[in-house]
Order: sequence, then C-alpha cells, then structure tokens
Amino acid sequence: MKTNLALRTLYQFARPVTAPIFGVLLLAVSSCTAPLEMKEASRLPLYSEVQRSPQGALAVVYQGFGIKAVGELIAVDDKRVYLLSPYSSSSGPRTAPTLTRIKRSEIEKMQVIFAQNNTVPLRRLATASYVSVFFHLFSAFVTAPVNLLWINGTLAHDLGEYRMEVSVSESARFARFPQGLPEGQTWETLRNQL
Amino acid sequence: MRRIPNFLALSAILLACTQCTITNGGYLSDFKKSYANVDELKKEYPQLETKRATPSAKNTQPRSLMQAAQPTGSPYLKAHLKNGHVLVFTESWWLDEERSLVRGSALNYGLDRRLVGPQDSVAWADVSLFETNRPLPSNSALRMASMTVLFVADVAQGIICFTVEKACFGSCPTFYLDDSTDVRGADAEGFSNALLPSAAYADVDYLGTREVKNGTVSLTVKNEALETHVIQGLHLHAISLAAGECALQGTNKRFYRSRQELPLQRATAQEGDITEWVLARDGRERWHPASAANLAQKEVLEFTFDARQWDGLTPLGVSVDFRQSFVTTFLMYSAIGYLGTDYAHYLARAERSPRAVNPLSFETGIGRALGGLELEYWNNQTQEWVYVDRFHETGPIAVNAQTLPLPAFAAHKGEIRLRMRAAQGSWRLDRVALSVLNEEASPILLTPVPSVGPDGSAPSLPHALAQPLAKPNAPGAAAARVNLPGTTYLQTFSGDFPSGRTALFLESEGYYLEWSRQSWLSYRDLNKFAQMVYRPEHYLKQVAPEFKAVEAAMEEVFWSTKQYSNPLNLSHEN
Repeated sequence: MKTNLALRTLYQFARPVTAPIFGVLLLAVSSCTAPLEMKEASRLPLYSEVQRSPQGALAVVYQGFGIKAVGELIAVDDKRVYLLSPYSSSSGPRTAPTLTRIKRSEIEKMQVIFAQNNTVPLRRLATASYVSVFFHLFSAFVTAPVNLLWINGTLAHDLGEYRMEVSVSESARFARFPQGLPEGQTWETLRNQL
Repeated sequence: MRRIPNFLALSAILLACTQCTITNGGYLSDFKKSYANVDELKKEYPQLETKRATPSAKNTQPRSLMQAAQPTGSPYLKAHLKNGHVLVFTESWWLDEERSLVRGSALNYGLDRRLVGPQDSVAWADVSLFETNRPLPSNSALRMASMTVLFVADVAQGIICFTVEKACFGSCPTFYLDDSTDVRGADAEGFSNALLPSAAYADVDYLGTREVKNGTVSLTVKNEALETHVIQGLHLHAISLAAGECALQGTNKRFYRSRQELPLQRATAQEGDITEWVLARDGRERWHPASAANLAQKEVLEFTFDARQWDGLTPLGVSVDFRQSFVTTFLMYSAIGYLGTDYAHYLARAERSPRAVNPLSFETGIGRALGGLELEYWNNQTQEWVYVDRFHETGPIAVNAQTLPLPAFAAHKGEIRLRMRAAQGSWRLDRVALSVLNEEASPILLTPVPSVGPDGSAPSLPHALAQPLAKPNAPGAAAARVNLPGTTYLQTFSGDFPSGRTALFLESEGYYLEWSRQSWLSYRDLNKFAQMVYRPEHYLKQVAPEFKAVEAAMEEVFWSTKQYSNPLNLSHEN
C-alpha cells in the first residue's frame, strides 16, 4: 500500500512538470545542436542568388579533438586548404579577414555550406503564429509552449542551409578559386589582397 | 493536457523530418560543375555551336542533365581567370570560336571579390577554369508545410476560443480513486449544484468497487478549474461485498445489495436500436445531439427487460450510469456572461435573499424546464405508462451510478417495459439495468485522517495543503477546506472495516464559487438573463441555434482546454 501510495504521490508531483521539462529538454537539445557556423552562414547568398555569387562556399573543417575551423573556402591545393574568416558577403562590410592554412593531412572531415534559404516567409509565419497565441485566451497555457517547441524545432537548427559533406578534393569546386591559388599568388601575397 | 504528448511527438517528427533534408545534400552535388578548358565545356554543351548563330538566344542546359522537376533556367557561367578574377555571366553567353572568346554580359570581380565592372568577353586563354551552375531548388518546403500547419491550427484555436469560449473546461471538485488523474477518468465530482454558500449540500457519488486493505483508502482531490472550492465535509461510505454481489446507491439516499440483474432484451431510441450502447458500463455512451429548435425538446427511450427469472416479489430498481452533456455547461456560462459585471453583485444578493432565483436550479428555472431522466413503467393492467421518479445529477465529467427503486408491480408475459423521457442532447447514458434489490445495506463510515507522504512522513505539499484541516467535517464554513484552482492533494480515509472487496461511495459536502472571465463580460445582457429566469421555456428555444452552432466543437474544446495542475484555465458547469 505504501509503495503504491509513494508511486502515486510521485506521479502526482511529477505529472504537472513533465510536459514543461520535456519541452525545455527538447529546446535545449535543439539549441545544443545548433552549429557554431550559423552566424556566418547567415551571410551566405540565398539559394536563388548563389549562381551569381563570385565567392566561395562557407567551409567547416573538422580537425579532430573537437577542433573546427570555419570560413570562406578560398582554395585547395595539393597540401593545404585555405580559409578566409570570418565569412563576408561581397557587398557587405568586411572586418579584418584572416587567411589561414590547414594541412590536408590534419583534416578529419569537411562540410561546405554554399547557400541559405529565404527564411523571411518562415519567420513571418512564426511571428504570426506567436501573435495568434494571444488570441487563445486561457488555452494559451497549452498552446504557447507547443508553439515555442514547434517553431523552435522547425527553425532553430540551421534555417535550411545548403550543406554537403565532401572530401577535401571535392571541396575544391566550391572554393573562391576552384582552380587553386591564382597564378603568381602565394599565401603570403594573397593574404593582403583579400 | 493529455494531447500535449501527441503535440510533442508530432513536433519531434517534424523536427526530425526537417533536419533530414538538410544534411543529405546528395541531390545538390551536381548543382555546380567545373571544366578545365573550353573543349570540355563544348563537350558538355554541344548545342553551343548553334548558339553562335543566334547569340541573342538564352543558353539552356540539356534537359537530361536537369532534375525533372526543375526549371531549365540559365546555366550561369563563371569564368575563373588565371589572375584570380572571376567573370560571372548572368544572362547570356556563347563561344566565339573565330576569336576564341567567351562572349556575353558578365560582371568582373577582383581577387577580393569586389566588383571591378562589367565586361562583355574574355579570351579562352585567360581562363583557367569554367564553372556552370544550375538553379537550386528550395529546401524549405517541409518547413513551410510545418509552419503553415501550426499557423492554421493557431488561427483555428483562436477562432474557437473566441467563438466557443463557453466550452472552456470546468469542474466541481473532482475525486480520483485510482492512479489515473485524467479528468475523463474522474470517479466523482462533488456538489455540482452548490453555487453559493447557502446552497451547500452533501452529494453522494459511487466511486467504484475495490479491494480495500487495512481499512484505509486514499483519494486524490483536485480543483481543476477557475473556481473556489469550499469543502465542508468528506466521508466515504463502504459496503463490504460477497462474491457475486454488488452495492447500489438509491436515489432515495439508501444503499442496496443486489445479487441479480434482469437481462436487457432491447433498448430503442429515435435513432433505432441502442441496446449495445447501454448494455454495460464500458464508456460507450448513448447520446443524441440536441434539437436545433428547442433545447428542452424531449425524447423518449424505451427498454424491455426479460423478467422470467424474477420471483415477482423482491423489489426491483432501475440502475442507470449517466452524466450530463454540455448543455448545462453552456447555459451556466451564458448566465454568468449575461450578468457581466453584475455577476458578483447577483451572487451576493442571492446569498442574502431567500427569494433569489438560481436560473439553473433543478427546482425552478431552466433546470426544471430541461428536467432530468424521467422514468416510467408500463402498467399492463391499466394499459398506461406510470411515472415513477427521475434521475438527476449535475455534471458532465464523472459518470453517476444511481438506482431508482420501482414500486411493486407485475411483469407481463415475462417482460418489464420501461421508458425514459429526457431533454434531447442533455444526457449521456452508459448503462441501463434492472437490478433485483435483495436487501438494504448499511455502509460503514470511513472518516478523513491527515494525509501522509509516501514515506509515512508528515503531510507536505503537494501531498496535502500546508495547513491540513483539523476538523474536516465540522459544520460551518470556518472549518472548511478552501481549495483554490490548481490544488491537488491526497486525502486518506480510515475506519474499522474488514479487508476485501468493497463498494465505495463518496459523500462530499460544500459549495463552490465560479469565477467569471474578462472575455465573458462582453456578453452582458440582463434581458436575456431575465428570460432565462422567468421564461426558461422561451429562452431554451431562442438559444438553441446558438448552442447548436458550437455543440460539435464543445466536446473537443472542453477537454482540450482543461488544465490539470495550473489555475490558468477555464471553468465549470453547473
């Protein structure tokens, strides 16, 4: 009887907080998995404009032990991958970019993100959904967290980037200079011109 | 609340689906192609030879290289020059073989990808790599679908809450005997008719039959609505049962033991045979929508029982498991809405004056117009239906199990015919049975004792209120336990009682104060309220279309808007 009572009491206590805890956990998980390169990916051209963009893709280079380099893929040669960070759009303001070299042998895996989706309609719908919750009166206690969870689940991760995992060799065609470093240019000469 | 896990599951599935489309970039792999020289480019695009003759025509990729669903837009050409510049041909381009040039409308970007200026041709020899790009499809279709579904649901919920707000959840004190605290499984709801302190009364509800040990039973007591519950007394009546025996609660406030039930042969209503709906207490309830012309319109249900095994002497009782529909819920919210800001004033006046009228009272007003489940039996000798009495218990949540003793009469040709008259759409019937009342039962009283925590410790939140009632059954409000919205606690009962199979009946005494809502104030209409009180028959005809407009939605809205542990939600029925 006591065990039954204990379980029942525990259940009574836990039930009201189950849903919120679950929601917070999901939010936390989805937030945790949001990649660090999200901010830079937001400067990528839209998927409908990327064909006209003269820039390289945003590269995410994993070097093992949790080390990750993010930046515009400038070029790939026999020995190294060149990244320019932070990523800056061709028309936007630029802040002291840094050209870095990473040895190919040190690269564990690589991803390229070469465009982003147009998130304006999604954000407008999300805003409209949030606003509509105010009209739910008392039931907003239920619908508000559902909205939060749903919208966060839909939008939080990466807003629909065009992302591919590629080998280092394959990544070259997504670089600003897919042919490799331009003739007559070295890392030293190039770093001051970008 | 019970739907929240479904919402979460759906959200998780959508989340998973939307993420799936992102990392799998396989379909994007051919979006960009590179050509080391112009010969490779020509090999890929043989039709470029013809383009030379019609340079104004737009260039297109071969359809075989395009995804079937994609438009054949411009294959943007980028010419990566040996000096690091890039020419982006954005509109048209072609190969001028005579001069070994790529010609077209291009933009020249420097090493740093700043715009240098427009350019209309470039020598093949200056190009170290050509690159073509095809249009990318949008990958947000699933996200858009997900957001659209949510938005549509939000708008629909908003519309429902504004138009059917009287459907919002409410309950009197709810009591749960088992682990389930889902309101759909509430075992009892207490004193539903006591809307004022002066209207407090003791309500007895059948809780169920359980194996009781150590003479101790625990109940979960909850306030799940925007109401103030004042519980002045709680008792359990326990009747120990032998094998094959059941205990029944009479409408005459007596208890009976029954060891025999006469088989139900046939049950009919306006829609036809309803036997399977009322044969057993299985949660499948017989209910028919209300009339669109008059909420008080009556319907008749007929029942025929096989009485061949009845000895003809032992008293019989009609046992019915029933509860109300949402008609009274709707009417109660309407009444409060009509009073608008005068609601509290009306309550105070009604409390002071014995002449004040409760519009939903069963004795007066709409309650009388709607009526209860009025029972009649067929007297074969006089060839007429004879009125016996009525079942009536307010509340749409917990199913009531009551037995109405029948007067002595004889069966005809081994059959007993009964019929019920009731307001169409106002009642839900789970079971109708004819029980043999073998003997009257004397229940043992189990009294409340301080609840304890699961480890036997002293009461503490949320197991009990911070200040447990010292004398929970003392008369008068001063000794009452006041439960505000969101209150949940265990109440233990104890008594000198043998272990074993036991029928339990809860006697709850008290009253509750229904809270009005800001949004209801706009319904203020004292004329309507006066109609409700003084011309209920007329009012029930007038309001019928309004109720019918929301009737279908009320069931869903009622349950879905209910809160289990938080006081923010809605309210109640009468």
